[in-house]
Amino acid sequence: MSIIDYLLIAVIIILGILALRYMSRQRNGCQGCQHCQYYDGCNIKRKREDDQ
Amino acid sequence: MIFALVGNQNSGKTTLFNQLTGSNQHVGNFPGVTVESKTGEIRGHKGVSVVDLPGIYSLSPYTSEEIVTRDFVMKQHPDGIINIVDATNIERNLYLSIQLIELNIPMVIALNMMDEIRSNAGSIDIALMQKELGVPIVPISASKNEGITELINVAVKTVETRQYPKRQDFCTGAPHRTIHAISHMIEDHAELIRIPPKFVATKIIEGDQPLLKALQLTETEIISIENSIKEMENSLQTDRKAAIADMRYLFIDRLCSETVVKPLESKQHIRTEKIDRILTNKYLAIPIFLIMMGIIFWLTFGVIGGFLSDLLGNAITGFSDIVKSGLEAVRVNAVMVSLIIDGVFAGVGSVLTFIPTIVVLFFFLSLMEDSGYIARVAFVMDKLLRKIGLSGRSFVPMLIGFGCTVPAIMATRTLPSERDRKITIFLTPFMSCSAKLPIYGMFTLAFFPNHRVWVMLFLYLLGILLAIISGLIFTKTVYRGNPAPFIMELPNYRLPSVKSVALLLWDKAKDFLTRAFTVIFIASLIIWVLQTFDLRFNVVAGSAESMLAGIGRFIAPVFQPLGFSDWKASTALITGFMAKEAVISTLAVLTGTNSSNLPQALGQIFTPLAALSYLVFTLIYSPCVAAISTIRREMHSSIAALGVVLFQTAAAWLAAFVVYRLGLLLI
Repeated sequence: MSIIDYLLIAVIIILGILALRYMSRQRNGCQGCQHCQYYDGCNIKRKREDDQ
Repeated sequence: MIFALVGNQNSGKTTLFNQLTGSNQHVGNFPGVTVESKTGEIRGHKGVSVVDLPGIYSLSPYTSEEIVTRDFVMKQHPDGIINIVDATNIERNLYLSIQLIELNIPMVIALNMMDEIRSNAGSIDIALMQKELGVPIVPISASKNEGITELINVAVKTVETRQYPKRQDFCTGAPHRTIHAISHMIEDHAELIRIPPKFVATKIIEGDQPLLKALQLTETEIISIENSIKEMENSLQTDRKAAIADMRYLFIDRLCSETVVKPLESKQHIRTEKIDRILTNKYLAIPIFLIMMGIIFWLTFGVIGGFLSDLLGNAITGFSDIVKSGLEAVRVNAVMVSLIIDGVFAGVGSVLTFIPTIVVLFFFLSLMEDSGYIARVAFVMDKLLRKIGLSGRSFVPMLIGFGCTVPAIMATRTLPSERDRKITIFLTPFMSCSAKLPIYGMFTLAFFPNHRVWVMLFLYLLGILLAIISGLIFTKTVYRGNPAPFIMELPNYRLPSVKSVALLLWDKAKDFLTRAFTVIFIASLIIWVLQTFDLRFNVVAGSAESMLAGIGRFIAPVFQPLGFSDWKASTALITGFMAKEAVISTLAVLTGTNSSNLPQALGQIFTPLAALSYLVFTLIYSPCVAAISTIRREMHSSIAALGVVLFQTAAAWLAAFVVYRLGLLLI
């Protein structure tokens, strides 16, 4: 395995983590965007309200 | 400062919301598009937000959307209300306005579609109407962005200066006496729940049970309230609900006779009636709809979409070849090359190829929706749906289901009866969602290149037919009873708006791209790992010795009676549970091909009849994870969600079995 192989593995792992992170946010209902039609049932909204 | 944006269905609320906030929410040309509230900040006014609520006709707690809107206005106590009123249907719209005024919250009426009134020689005496209703009124045209700045200024000023409605008494005669008597009786209780006593009194007369319960009245108080209401009913010789409705309409009729000069019948309306004579004709309506869908499929899969998808497929294959040569030139490890080319490029690329097809299909569907035709289809379908015990209203969620099952299940909230809602949730997954298009596209290209349109049409119609059969089973067994009556306003036909169509297409393309680079990307990586290594994590010589082959072979016998016992086919069905597009990306990874060569590779796994059976199975089997979790949330039951999964999968197995066995008999 050369350095390019390790670099490529790192890139794919980072892309995979980013994709999983995005999917997990989507599954939780929202990313906290107030314009979103699902904002009412969103965890981030609830958290914001709790913080207040 | 928070404003509630409240109005009738199809009165232009979402259009006004977009104008007020600068957002791009989807605006539908049929009622029931908004099923949840949306919040946005008003442009140029920091800290001032507006909440777009589902369209309602009154503040009664009957449908889910009425409950969402009512709860927001009554429990969240917004600082102000922007009540959008469709000026072309002013009497019916004012029925809601009067109830909102009774809530005694600073309020402004946005009189929408005033451009249509003016262009058809109508007029409204705004000053007199303002005086009679006791709230400010601003004439606007939301679609043309006219009067929006003035509306914002008036609304903000109304709240800042705490201008409450100047009048709250719209009653006369016997209801007047009853309302006043009851409001005195419940005054203390109403103040505790922070709702004006007169509004509460009117609602109690209408038979509003949730509000009556919230008041926590004593037995004696309830009895004396009932006596007052019965006295009113006897003196008017009508029932309680009719008495209140008559009282409100009496006021509205008098108000409109003083302030409104009715517009002449508009050109659009005359044209609409002419078109409707053909498109909603008793005998022609359904054949016309089927012909239209046939033409759309032909253009999508046979002419425009198919051509563009082929071009994109070739481009992706070319790009993949260049990357492969580049990687080999810099001597990247062969396993890494395989991961990037056979895993990521083959998986994601095979799905990306179908973007043009999906965009073209939704271009035509959005033209149908935005022109007003889809609302007619719902109207026409009412008769058919009634035969299976559902109302035409259920058609709207089912139609949305052709795009994606998740919003479709949420759209069932617009159904007034819980029975209709549950049946519709069960039937919606039968509508073929757009994520299944790549599967149909690839298989029809591989096995039925000359009959693609017919196979597509067959699949879509089969989904509908199975929904009808399942509907009949449900309404004759578990969900007996009558469907709720269907009342739907048919909008005038109009030229589709470029912005609305473009926004919808962008939403679809963006959603598809996001899924390709997230779910499909991850699924392709996992599939590649499972098919490249064995249980000891050694690279296998052929995928038949891999971990995945073991899993696939374990479940493959279940599908043997359906004609596809290859482990690759059954493995692809498992990943399709995550997202339907993953069926194609998995097959691409497992066969080690790209989108251009996949049709040939599929020819080695399936016979044409087995391919048709596979298509039928993927059409009907369990919805994806996102849809299942939405069903669980909307039905508040994990058992119901599991029921849908089992029912759909069993139905899919049976349907594919029938298709395959019939095919064997015929060939």
